[in-house]
Amino acid sequence: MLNWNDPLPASSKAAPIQPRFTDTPITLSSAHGEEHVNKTGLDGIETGAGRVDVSEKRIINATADVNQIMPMKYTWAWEKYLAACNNHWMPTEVSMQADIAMWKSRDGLTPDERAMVLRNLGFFATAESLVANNIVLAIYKNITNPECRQYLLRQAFEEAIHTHTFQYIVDSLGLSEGEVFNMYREVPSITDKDAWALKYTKGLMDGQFDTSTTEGAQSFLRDLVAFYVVFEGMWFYTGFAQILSLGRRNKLTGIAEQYQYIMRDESIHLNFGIDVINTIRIENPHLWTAEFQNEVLGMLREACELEVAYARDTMPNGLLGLNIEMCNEYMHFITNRRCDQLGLPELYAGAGNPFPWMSEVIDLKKEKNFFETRVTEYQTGGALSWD
Amino acid sequence: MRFGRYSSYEGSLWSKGILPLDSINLLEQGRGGYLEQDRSQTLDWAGLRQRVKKHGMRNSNVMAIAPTATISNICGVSQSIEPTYQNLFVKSNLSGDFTVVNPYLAADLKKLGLWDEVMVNDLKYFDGSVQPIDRVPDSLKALYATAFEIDPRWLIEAGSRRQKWIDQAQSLNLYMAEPSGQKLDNLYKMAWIRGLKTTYYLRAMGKTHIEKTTLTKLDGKLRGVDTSAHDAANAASVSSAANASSAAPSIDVSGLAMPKACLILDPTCEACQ
Repeated sequence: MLNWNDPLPASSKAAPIQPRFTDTPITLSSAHGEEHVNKTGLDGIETGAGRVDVSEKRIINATADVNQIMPMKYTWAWEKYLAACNNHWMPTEVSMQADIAMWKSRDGLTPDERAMVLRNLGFFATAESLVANNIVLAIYKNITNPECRQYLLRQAFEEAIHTHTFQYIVDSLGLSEGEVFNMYREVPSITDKDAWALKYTKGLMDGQFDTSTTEGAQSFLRDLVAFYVVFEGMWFYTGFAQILSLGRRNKLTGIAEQYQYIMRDESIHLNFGIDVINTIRIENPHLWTAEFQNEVLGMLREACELEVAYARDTMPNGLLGLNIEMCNEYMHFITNRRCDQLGLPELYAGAGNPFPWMSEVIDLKKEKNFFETRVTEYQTGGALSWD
Repeated sequence: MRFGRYSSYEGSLWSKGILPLDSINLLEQGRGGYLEQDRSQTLDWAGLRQRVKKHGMRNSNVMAIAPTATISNICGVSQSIEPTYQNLFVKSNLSGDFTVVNPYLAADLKKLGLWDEVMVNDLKYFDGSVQPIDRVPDSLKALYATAFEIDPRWLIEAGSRRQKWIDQAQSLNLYMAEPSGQKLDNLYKMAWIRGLKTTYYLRAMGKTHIEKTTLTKLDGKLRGVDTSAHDAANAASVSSAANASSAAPSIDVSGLAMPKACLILDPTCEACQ
């Protein structure tokens, strides 16, 4: 029987696991002549090759076998993979009843609000697909580290979930599919953003592309900046702010909840990207020249301006509690944070967050009622530890 | 007894002079002894038993402990008979999101001259916990431990001791930031053996959270690669006039990359005592 005074099985203090035998990596490279580097992991299997030494692992241009996740070097990538799995969610778990009622009601939303929501969805509906394409077609094959690849696979799935979310929203509200999904080819400010990012993906699709040259590696860094820092770390934020601002006025709360889940995922995506970029620049200091840093700053400035133009397009007249000047400052503020994260000087000195209500909507822990809404503070049952 | 007894009073436990305090013995018998519940008492309840027998009871049930999840926020207290969820958090329900601050903590910190913007910022950064904030004295850290920082087994112990005075059940939420199968198994078996009639929610925490944007500094909790040493060495290459803006008192985040959770299995854990 249980007794308060009895110490519980002390599995908490398990002795560190001792290796049963010591692996000495066998180096056969001398026997093979020059060392062959299998960057994609698709080349033929080199039988009898030596075991992987952690010191050979690199994010790009590794000499270690890219198919062996253990021993691990970048534990942060593995931790992000585990955290992402624990955060698993599906859009269909969120009830859209209240949103449907509001969307269909004549005076639930103002015409300006409706227009904003449509353009907001119009950007996101295809944006997640562009991000997914970039991961799968451009980034994955150039990352030569299996821990990071593991996270990329999880991230790719999350992009699919996010695309699913927009399908689910469009379907629930009975919106015109063609109107929403084709918007990136019809609304200039959306086209401009997408075209800006796409050119970086395209640069990596050339068959000759190679990260072993300085030029190639810098192109790869540009792509990482364009997608992780700009796309996921800046361009989603105006859209998030718009929907959350409606949500805090109790409008379209289902969509607002979906966006909060997406933001939780995006926070990890962004930080993974930042970690990858920072590791590459630490491992390859010759890439991160003053000139290149200025180029990255230029990219961030351009991206910031594109985002402000998009904000103007989505709500030319402003909305209750939200106008273009505020979006402008918010974007400057977000851009500064990204500069900080990359170890670059801030572009917009003194910019602050003009939306103090985000403290309530995002920053603080939420205590929710299980009977009223899907609780955001949870971890999936499958992730429960039984140690 | 203006309205008389409830209609099925005759034959009830009340009519036999059995108070909730006494019915615990019946529970023990029914379970064949599988019960470990404190039954100590200091007052003489015989008089009450006699009075009930003589006059009967108007209501068959007289006491329960309600969840009071929302009304507690309106009144400025914590819900049910439980420690506060966090000292700073958001109550989210169908009516919207509402920021809830622990007013007693704020008052105590004001007395010490510690309630300032930095404190609010720290509380926000540390998700409503005062434990990692160096400026907060230990006595206040002990007093304002949140529901997640108190070993949930104490909530069960307290619930068990209350139960003998309550004829119905209690709403009792349990809190565990990172539940594990073993801890849950242990916790719920304990609730049973201690004679609790019910438990209510089990509240956990998400694995990670959205990056915070209303802090004075960057939220670094999701950062995996520390570049500070590398950047300091290379600071000369890029001039940065803007960096002077980060003059706000610094928050030490070095130990936070992997949040430390209390392991309730560890009897020596400081936070769980």
